[in-house]
Amino acid sequence: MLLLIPILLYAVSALAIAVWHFVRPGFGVPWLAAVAVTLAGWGLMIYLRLRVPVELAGQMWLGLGDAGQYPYFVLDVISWPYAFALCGLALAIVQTASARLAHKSNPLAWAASLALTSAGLVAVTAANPLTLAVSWTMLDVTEVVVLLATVRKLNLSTRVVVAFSARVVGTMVLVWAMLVARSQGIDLNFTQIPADISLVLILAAGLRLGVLPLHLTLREEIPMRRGLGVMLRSAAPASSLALLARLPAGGSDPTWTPVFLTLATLAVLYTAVVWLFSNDPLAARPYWLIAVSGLAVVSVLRGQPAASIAWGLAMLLPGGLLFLYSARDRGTLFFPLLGALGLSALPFTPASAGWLGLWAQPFDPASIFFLLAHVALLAGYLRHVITPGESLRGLERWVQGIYPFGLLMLVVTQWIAAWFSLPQSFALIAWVGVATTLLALAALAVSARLMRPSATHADEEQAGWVSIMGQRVGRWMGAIFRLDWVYRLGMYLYGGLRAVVSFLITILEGDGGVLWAMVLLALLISLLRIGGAP
Amino acid sequence: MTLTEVVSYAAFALLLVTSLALLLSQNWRWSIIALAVQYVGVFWLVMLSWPIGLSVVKLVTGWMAGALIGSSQPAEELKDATFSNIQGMVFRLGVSLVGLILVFTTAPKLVDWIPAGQPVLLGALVLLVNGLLQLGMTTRPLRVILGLLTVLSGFEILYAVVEQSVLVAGLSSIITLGLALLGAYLMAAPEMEAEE
Amino acid sequence: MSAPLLFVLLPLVVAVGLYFARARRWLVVVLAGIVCFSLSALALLAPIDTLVQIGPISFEIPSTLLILGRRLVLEDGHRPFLALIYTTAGFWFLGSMVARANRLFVPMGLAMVALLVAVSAVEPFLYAALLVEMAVLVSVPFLAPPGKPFGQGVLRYLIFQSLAMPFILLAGWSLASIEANPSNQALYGQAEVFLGLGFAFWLAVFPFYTWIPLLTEQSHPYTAGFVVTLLFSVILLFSLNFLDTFAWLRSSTLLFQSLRLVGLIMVVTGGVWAAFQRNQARLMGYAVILELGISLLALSLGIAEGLNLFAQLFLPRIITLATWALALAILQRQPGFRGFSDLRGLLRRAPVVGITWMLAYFSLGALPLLAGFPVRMVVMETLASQSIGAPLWVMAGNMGYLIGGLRALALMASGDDPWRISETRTQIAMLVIGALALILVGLFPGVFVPGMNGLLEPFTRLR
Repeated sequence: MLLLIPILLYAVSALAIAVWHFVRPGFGVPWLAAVAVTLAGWGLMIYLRLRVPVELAGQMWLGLGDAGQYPYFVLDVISWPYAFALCGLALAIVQTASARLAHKSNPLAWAASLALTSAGLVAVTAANPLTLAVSWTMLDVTEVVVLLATVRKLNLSTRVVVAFSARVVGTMVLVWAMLVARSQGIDLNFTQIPADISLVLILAAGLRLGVLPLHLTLREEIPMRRGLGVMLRSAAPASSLALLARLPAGGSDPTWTPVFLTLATLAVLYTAVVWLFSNDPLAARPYWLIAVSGLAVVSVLRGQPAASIAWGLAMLLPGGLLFLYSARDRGTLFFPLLGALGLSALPFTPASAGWLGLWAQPFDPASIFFLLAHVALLAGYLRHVITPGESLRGLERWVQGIYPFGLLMLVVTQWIAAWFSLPQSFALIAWVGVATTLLALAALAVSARLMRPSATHADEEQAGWVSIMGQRVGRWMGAIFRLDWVYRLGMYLYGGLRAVVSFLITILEGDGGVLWAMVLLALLISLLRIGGAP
Repeated sequence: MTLTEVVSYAAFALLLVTSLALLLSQNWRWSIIALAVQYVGVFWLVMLSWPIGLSVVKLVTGWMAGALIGSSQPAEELKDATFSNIQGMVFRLGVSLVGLILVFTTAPKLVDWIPAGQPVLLGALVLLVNGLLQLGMTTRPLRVILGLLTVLSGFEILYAVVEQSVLVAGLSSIITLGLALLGAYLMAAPEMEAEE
Repeated sequence: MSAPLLFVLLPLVVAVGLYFARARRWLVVVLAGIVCFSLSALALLAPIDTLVQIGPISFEIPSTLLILGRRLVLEDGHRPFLALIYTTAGFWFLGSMVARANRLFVPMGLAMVALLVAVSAVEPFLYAALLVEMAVLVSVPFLAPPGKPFGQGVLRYLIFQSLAMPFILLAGWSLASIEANPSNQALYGQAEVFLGLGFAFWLAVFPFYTWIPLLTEQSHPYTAGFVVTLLFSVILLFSLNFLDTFAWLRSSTLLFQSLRLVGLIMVVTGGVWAAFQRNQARLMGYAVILELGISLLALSLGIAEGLNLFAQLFLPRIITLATWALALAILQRQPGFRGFSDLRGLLRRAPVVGITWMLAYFSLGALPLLAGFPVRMVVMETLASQSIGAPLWVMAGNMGYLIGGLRALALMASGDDPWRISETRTQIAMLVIGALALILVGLFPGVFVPGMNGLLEPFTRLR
């Protein structure tokens, strides 16, 4: 029952804040309440880490009477870091909201963030596939409700549903994994996962993350880009990353793993490069999410699921920090730079355990790609950090105090999570992080020179040939790696199949339909007599 | 060949002619007459298995059904837009002839399943086949009802051989009348006052 | 007052009375609701063939009624079925005001329910074919109400349901012949053919299901939903009589293989057809086809594994179809609604009906969290334990079905209208009840669903 406390805390407070806002519109009380709740939740999560594993088992659900047929949640060494990260994000979102009051940050948005946090906790702590399938759906529905209530643009609403559809497909793949396990006489749970089923689970998580195959369903950002937008982009990926971390070490099916690895590598490379060259971090956020979570997927495919936690936390926490970094000052630059340190994977930093999944001994040439991707991610991060924004000085004094504290909480959260869950980060694993950091700094210097904003069309014409070539190559890479051509092919096939189906329906439901039904019946009977059922 | 057999084959011929008439006719009066005469044939073949008192129920029910349908004066309802011209009629005749071939080939084998005489099997099958053809080539409510009545008549001839329950006879009569009533309703419904 | 008198003849008499009072819609609806819920309560509380003592009063409800040499028998084991049928009917009739079904619906619907109850009661059970046919005839007037043109759906429905009757009757005769002459192997094949064809027509097995989407499209969705839900529920239960009575059927491999094949065909075609639909009412038709396929698949799992699942599928199906039919009826009455393309922006104009409709849709698509998921999941897992091929096809059909729903959702979500609620309070109340039922059954299936196993009580040899 302990596990219910943070979940209900966030859910109930979300409801209370929403109701309060309708009854008495205002910012003061809801904000204070939200800060108190998120601080309490964050602290509670640290306490729960000392009590892991914390379990919550529901009543017998239905069915075959096996262990896998009842809802089961567990906060353990795998799910705790992601749960803690979500709590940290919720805390930071609310605290930094003080700086965004002029930018549509309002109690309803905070309530939505808390609701998503609650749903995210449920999904992250799901401890068997059945519970995970239900939790994922709960999270997806929460997300789609929040998004549809928020967006106004015509095409964006459709995009929201498309994104939801992709998540549903991922959930169905998870269901498929359960069925495959059952066909092998296995009651699938997360303690023992066969190699072939491990790959299906990777596919399910990869689909939901947008990595396998690469798809960017919400390329365009929602109106509330910071704050609620951060939680919207974090809760669902966190639950998929938690699944990845539960997969068995040592790799999965040897036949398909190279294929998945190739696809994931291409996705990571492409999105990391786009991230590097983008001008707006919020607009490029989908690429950030796919690139870093792609590194987590790669780690799992290479047999190091524990290393995926490092990349998952890097995606959520330093990433969240950057996206919440709206009011910029020299004084506050320190915090996102700490975030960059958390991403850098230098020795004795939180993400350095991630190299276990990307940099293998003996040396594997494929590792170069991951190294390059990390360089691009880190360089892009630093580039976005140093980009000027609106000033903190123009805001009230209490905001100037609270806002940096919110950013700091994300740094602290990452370090605490790593301390408890990634002990390898604080042992010397590899010096690769040093190399990538130096390369990133160099790339930052070069890209800052090449990608300087051009004021006029004339300036653009004078841009270096490297810049022009880079844009053309980027467009070409985008055309291939985004797999838009695959989706267009799919739509073409859909159109063809629709014509066939329409024709068949016209025949069967038309004037001669009864006779056609008799003909088909005769055909069916002869098939039955020849072959029998499967 | 005994007199009964001769008359039975005559009944079969009657059923063949009437079911064809139902299939081809574009005039509602001729269709109702054909239906009524068809039930005479049904009555005769059923009488070979049932007592005359019970068999008469079939005849009376059939005539009542015809009267019910006729009372709604379904002149427009009978005309089938798709097949009302000469080519349509030739097509229906041709398909019916194919059906007839099917009937003659199937009837001898059917005796293994249903122990009845040839005229009974032939009569029943011809109604079943022509009734199904009627159902398969129309979208008009009246023709659908006539087709269903034809099919059910064919079935009743077969079933009379194996089952002699009064209750079944009663219930199937109710269903025959119900179909006819439904047919009259369906023809009149679109013009009736709406009941929202 | 015997059980058949109470549960069959009394509702028939009431239905006749309600027919003549149909001009007073409120009165008719309330009376029908009272009758249905009273009968449901009676079924739940009063045992049959057992002396009941309430203070000084004692009474017993006999199970048998003799009619024309035959019997109507409703035993104590039928009570769960009676409770389910009359509760379903009661809610459906109450909702007819909100759904604006025509005035013939309640009286003739009640008559249909009584006849369908008689299907389960009649002995020998073969006479049920005639009773089903009567129920079908009674249903046609409210599917094709006066003053409105009707389409091919009603006619096709009438044709296929009527064609089933002869085959079921002939099957009954063949089965009786087998009892008399069990050594004659030819009779077994004969019986299987007649039975198979009869149920193929009755249960709208491929390719005889074309009438379902036509009916849901061309008739009022609320009344069409009522017919497909109750008719198929009763026929599915009735089919168990054959398994219960005839041991050789229970051990027939061909039967279960055929059920598996036909079930898969229905799931795949229903799902794939739904993926390409551009009519919201036809989507309900394909959902019914898919759900029927799932029921047949559950039955194909065999007596030991599949029967409980077969029974447990009833509750989520009934709740989902009822909610769907209501939502669709309200949706189609939205101002300016003419067709599928008018779904655009519906979530903003009428969010309650839009969300409820989507919940019902995805429930039948076995989306986790909703009523249709738990039992469907167990069915698929049990199928998988026998062979992975069948669940693969089921997933394919399911994905096609979900695509249809997601397309509709995308259309409903598009648009930049301001948010507003255009549904009335009564509509909102009923829709919310339906939506909550879907979510509660989905979250706590262990509480609600196992009770459906009571539907198997009359089938003593199958338990």
